[in-house]
Amino acid sequence: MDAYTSFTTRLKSAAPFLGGWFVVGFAIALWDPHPRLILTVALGISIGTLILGPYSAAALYILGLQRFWGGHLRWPLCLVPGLSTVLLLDYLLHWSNLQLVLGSITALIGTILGHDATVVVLELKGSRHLDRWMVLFFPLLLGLAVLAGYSSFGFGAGTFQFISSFLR
Amino acid sequence: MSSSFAKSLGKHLGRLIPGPPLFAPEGEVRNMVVYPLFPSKLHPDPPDMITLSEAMRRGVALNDTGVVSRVHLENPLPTSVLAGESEILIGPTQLRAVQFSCLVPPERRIALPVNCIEEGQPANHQAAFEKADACPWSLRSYKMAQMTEHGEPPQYWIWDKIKDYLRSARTVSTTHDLHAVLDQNAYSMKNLSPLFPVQPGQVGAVCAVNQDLYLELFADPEILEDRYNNLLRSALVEAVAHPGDQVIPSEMVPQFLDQIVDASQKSRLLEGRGLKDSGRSLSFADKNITGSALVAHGQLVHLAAHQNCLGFSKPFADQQPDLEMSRQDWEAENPHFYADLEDRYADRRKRYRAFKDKLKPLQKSEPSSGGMQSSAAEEPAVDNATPPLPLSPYLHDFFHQLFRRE
Repeated sequence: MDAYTSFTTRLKSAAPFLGGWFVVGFAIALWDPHPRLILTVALGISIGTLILGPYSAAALYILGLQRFWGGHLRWPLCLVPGLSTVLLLDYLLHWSNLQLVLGSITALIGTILGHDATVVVLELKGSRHLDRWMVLFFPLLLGLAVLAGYSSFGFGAGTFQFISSFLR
Repeated sequence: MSSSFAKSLGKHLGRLIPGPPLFAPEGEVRNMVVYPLFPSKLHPDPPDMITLSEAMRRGVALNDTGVVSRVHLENPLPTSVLAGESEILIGPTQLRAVQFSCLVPPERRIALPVNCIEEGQPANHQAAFEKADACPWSLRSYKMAQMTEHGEPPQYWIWDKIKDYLRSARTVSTTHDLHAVLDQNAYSMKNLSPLFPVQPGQVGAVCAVNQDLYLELFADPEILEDRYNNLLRSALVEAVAHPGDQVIPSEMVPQFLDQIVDASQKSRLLEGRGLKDSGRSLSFADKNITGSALVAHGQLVHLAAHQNCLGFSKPFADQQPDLEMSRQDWEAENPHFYADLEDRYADRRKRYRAFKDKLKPLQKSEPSSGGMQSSAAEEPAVDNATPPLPLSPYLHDFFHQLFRRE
């Protein structure tokens, strides 16, 4: 991909990635259409990317923890905030086991994405090349892609019901 | 500080003897003339420092910190290392250029201030730089002006300048690599270099290229000898990349030296953490002159300066008879100059070579060394040297392309 491209072109090149999350949303709707699961996944991925990942990177960078253990400390440091947040939410909101597992997985994936995104932001910081809008929107788009997949299933199912009843 | 620096610089330059012009008699390069500079007095002892290239061959390690503006330099040698202003550091990572001349003390680890000169290449954390090369004068001059104004040249302006330079030199580089200009013109430069040989005892040179005058001066002829190839390539690349048939006339060379002294009245002290005890680096800019200097123990170690003489260049063909005559006159007036200087210099050079041959990294078990000392710059360097690494290189590349706009 050419680095010197517009917002939409760069976003289009990320379409397979967003498409993957769309499929996840669709699959969840197919599996269990209850909104609590899809909301857990959508919020988990967005919050993980937007808050937990940057938080982990900031802890590593500001506290200088990266220099310990040959730099491998970043893995557990990314796991801890994600898992502890999910456990805290589980304690407060009394989630089901399924919700806890889904929330943990998505928060961890989001934290990993957010960490690497933050490393890139730190590298580009200070130059005119950093696209701040993309930094803000992309994590939100991840959550929206999941919701879009979920909604598409509902729309598809509704359309199918409508057409089939009309034809009968 | 500035006026005392200007005063001592004036004295130093006043003691120099300009040599006869060197040029291409057959007109192989018609936009470049070199004026060697010689010392009127030569100290009996050689310097106790070596250049960065020599040091890298003897165990000095330069590693990428992953931070654009710093490179980790570890000097295990029992002597100081001269990192020259804008020397390009080459390795399997983003190319960098040393920000300003500095002396790295013996057995010291420092975070060397650098600028990135390859925007499209990511910094490869801990990658080792393998060699140092010359930097085109266009960028050196620009950096000096920016350093005088801002203290540290803004990195993105440097990248913009490099893009313009690559365009003007008709060099294509997908990563916007400044060194690509030297690579592209390597063959021509190699063929033209023998036209401008270094003379024994020479301490500096003024290179007239197109509408510009470039000065590079060292305190010691041994250092110049080791750095001469880079000195010449810095100017020669400008001559080859921007071909022309005009050059600044020789009458302007003495004026250039005087104007450098005037410009240095308002100099700026450059901050190099951990380097303060080994020397002071300064930069200055005034009207059409930019320069930088390194002073250690009250003595000038390295001076680099540029003057843009827009509108003063004349066709080389018109000047060639005068240049030829000037060379003959100089040789007639100073018939034994080279021989005398070579005699005085020979012993120094021999001792300096012996000194370099003996240089080996000190072992940590040696009682005198006590291991590597950490400078004041070391702790920040360690912090800088270990920024968060990406968890996945694939994700890192993905976000780099996603978040980076034109």
